[in-house]
Amino acid sequence: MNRQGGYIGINRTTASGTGGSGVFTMDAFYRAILSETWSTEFSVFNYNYMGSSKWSLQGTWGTNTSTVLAQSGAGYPTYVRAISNTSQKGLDASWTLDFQFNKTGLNSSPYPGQHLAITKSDTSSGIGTNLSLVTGDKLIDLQAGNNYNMGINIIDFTGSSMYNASFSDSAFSVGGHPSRVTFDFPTATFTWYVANGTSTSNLVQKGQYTLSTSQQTAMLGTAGRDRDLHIGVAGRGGTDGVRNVVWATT
Amino acid sequence: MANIVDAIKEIGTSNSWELIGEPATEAEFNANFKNHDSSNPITWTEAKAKLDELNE
Repeated sequence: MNRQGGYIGINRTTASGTGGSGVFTMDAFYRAILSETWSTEFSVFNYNYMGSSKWSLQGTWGTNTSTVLAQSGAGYPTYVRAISNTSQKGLDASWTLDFQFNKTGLNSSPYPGQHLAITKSDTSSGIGTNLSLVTGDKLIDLQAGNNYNMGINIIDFTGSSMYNASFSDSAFSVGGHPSRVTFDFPTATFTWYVANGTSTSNLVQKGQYTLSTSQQTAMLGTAGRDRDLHIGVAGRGGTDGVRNVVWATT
Repeated sequence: MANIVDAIKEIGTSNSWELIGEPATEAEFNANFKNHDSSNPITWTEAKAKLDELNE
């Protein structure tokens, strides 16, 4: 597979020091989602600057039966794949997604950006088979970038931006600090929180947006509103990675 | 092709802000852009100029 310019999930381990780091942009991230079966064939780019580089399938699908879906513990690999359960369907139920961007040493340029994306399945249940070509792939992107920047982007399937929020504050750079996104049903309101400390009690609301009914339909389609949501992450692995992703009902 | 969101991201890298949709006029921009940092105000004129620069 050849995906020039679109790194996603570079397979770097801090323990071995092998591989390389890269700069992830949102455009590259979405290009990877759109051009690949990103969620079904999870793309980890094994970067070898002295040899051939390739994409590969890594990790397994997590379900919401465990407290922490992925990236718990010392390993923090580059990949997370998880689907919602029956009580967390699309935009027809309330849900809460907790995760951490480990921002230690973030203020260094270029910094390999980190992303967590929420997309949807093409089936009413489970993982689906044709994720990259259906509406709703571009759903929500949470990102951390250089200079302590963090942001949320809510985008409909046409690529139009529905809502953005962004801030840069070194007070939010504590390693492993929590982030949270909630969706409230039936008000259809997304709320984004980031913590300026290591506890969820430190969470501060940084953005909020309420979808209209027509916008809900525009994002997922009438039939897609009750479909499973998927999450995936991209970014450097190791201790700098996205970690402790938990998807739970409210 | 860059859009107005890209332009604001270029200008307000250190700001805290929120933006609904992709405003195409000054009136839409003023109605849908919230800049939480008074120290670095971002205007429609500035955002539009940056957008034009990005798309040159």
